[in-house]
Amino acid sequence: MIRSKATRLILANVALLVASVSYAAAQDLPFGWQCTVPGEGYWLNGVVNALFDCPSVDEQAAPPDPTSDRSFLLRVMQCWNVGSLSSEALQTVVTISVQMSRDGRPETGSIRMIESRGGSDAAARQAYEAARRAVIRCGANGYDLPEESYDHWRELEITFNPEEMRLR
Amino acid sequence: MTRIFHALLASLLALAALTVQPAIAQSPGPLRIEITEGVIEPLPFALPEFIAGNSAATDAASDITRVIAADLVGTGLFREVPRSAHISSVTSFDSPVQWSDWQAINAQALITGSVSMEGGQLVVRFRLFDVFSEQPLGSGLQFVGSPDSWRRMAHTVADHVYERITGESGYFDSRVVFIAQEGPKNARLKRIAIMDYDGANVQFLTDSRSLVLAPRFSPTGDRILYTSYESGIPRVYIMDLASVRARPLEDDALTMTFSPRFSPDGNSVVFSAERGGNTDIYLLNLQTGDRRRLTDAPSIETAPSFSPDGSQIVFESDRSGTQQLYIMPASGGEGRRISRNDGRYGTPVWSPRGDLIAFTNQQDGRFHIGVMRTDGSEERLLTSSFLDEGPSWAPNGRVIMFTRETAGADGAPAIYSVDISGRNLQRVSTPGMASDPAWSPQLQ
Repeated sequence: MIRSKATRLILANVALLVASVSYAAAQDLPFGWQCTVPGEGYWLNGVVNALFDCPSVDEQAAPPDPTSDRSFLLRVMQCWNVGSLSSEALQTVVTISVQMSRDGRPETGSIRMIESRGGSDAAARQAYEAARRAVIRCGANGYDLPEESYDHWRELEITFNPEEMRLR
Repeated sequence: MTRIFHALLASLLALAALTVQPAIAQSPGPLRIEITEGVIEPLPFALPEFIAGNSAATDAASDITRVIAADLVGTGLFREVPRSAHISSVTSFDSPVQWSDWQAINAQALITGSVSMEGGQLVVRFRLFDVFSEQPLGSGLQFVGSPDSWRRMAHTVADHVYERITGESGYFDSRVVFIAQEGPKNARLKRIAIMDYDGANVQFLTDSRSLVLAPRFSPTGDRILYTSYESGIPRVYIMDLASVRARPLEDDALTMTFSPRFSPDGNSVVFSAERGGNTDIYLLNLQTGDRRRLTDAPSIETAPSFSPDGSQIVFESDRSGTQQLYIMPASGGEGRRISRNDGRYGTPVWSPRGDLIAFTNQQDGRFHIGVMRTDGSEERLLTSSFLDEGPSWAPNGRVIMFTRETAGADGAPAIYSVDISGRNLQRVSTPGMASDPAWSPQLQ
């Protein structure tokens, strides 16, 4: 039996905090909350959005469309030409980052190699250049990406793994 | 009750104040995608004719451009965008690149250059650009040489382009020694000849009085070894290419010697010798004349080839009952068998990169050129025909030349090349019948 009003108030706050942290963890938001689209089973969404003055459901970004991700992937695949790469570059996996403009074009100056593994620096450079050519060439007229989910694809990290190509 | 409500509201606001900052600071993470499939196609490049800096260089500019294009296209890794499709015309070596014009025709690389005659010397400049990234690939380069060396200068430009795009060293500035043949099959005349890797500039090094076989380059490209029947039996000869003078490798005129190759340092020759009906492998020190026996078996051991580091030798032997491939230390020994699949294996050659061994394989009545790792794993047959044999590696270890002979009474040998992927099989241009190609190291 909890007698003190102050104690009950503290316990209520602790319960709210625990629930909030649980919600954040469930949403893969380890460093804090974000405005979110309410999802099934998460009753706390409304509280979070209200607390942080989030826009209404209608105002929020559309959920990511897996179809558009797939479409992007297919386009880049068509332009990723490994035919002129050395056998060492064909053993090198590179990850590049690229910022996208709202019209679906890659911002050429933003492209960077952020990781490579499996080959020398020279092989990584060749592999990176082939990856960069692929992203720029097939994005010259803009990728078919839904503008309403721009926040989802505005920053990309693309890993080019040639293992399967090496065997052909 | 009102107090409690206010207290609860204040607590919630305090909680919000504590947590709202990280929520705003954090933006959504990048979308991560992995791509595992692409395309394997020749890379399209544009090569406007090099600008002639003066009238004396007009022909050279045209010829050099043509050879560069042929080198790159001949690899199977590049495709030239036809000049009729060009939108931009390059009128000056230093004029800015009109990126959108080259992007519109899907040229992924652009090569521009100029050629001029200055003080009796040919001066060649070139630049390479990544069209879609809108930036140069490496720095521009300039080469100076005699007008006669225009082909080598063209090959050098092509080597640089190849190296910058593929990441591998080129092989265009290299030569090939081979056996040039003429006459009917039952009375074939054979001469040793040398040519550029693309079949240009053929010169004959021997006459056709004696049967000659299997020439091999030294690691520095200044000498060749070959087998000649000049004395009536096969003997190994060594020739200095600058003077075109040859001498027998050893004074012993009674022993049959054949199948020679230089060691990687060029100071020794490994070869086969037959004594009393038994063939074994020997090593001759060219400086001291010391000869050492490396194998000692009643079977036929032949076709030795050093690893690039000089520590091992791959060779063929029929000790198991059929011809198979073995590797032994360079100091000699039993050797361990590395060929394991069907058929007979012969003429092994260690790749300049050290990772692969090329060989001839015969099975089910057909011949193949193949490659395997040095432990015998990952064997791949690259070709198949009535008769394919005698592989020789390009200096960069990416391409193999070999002899292909057609069947029948009119069958004739020719030289072919193939990429180690098995793609881009093509006949090498020679003035007539040709066999036994041996690729030089990259020229200096």
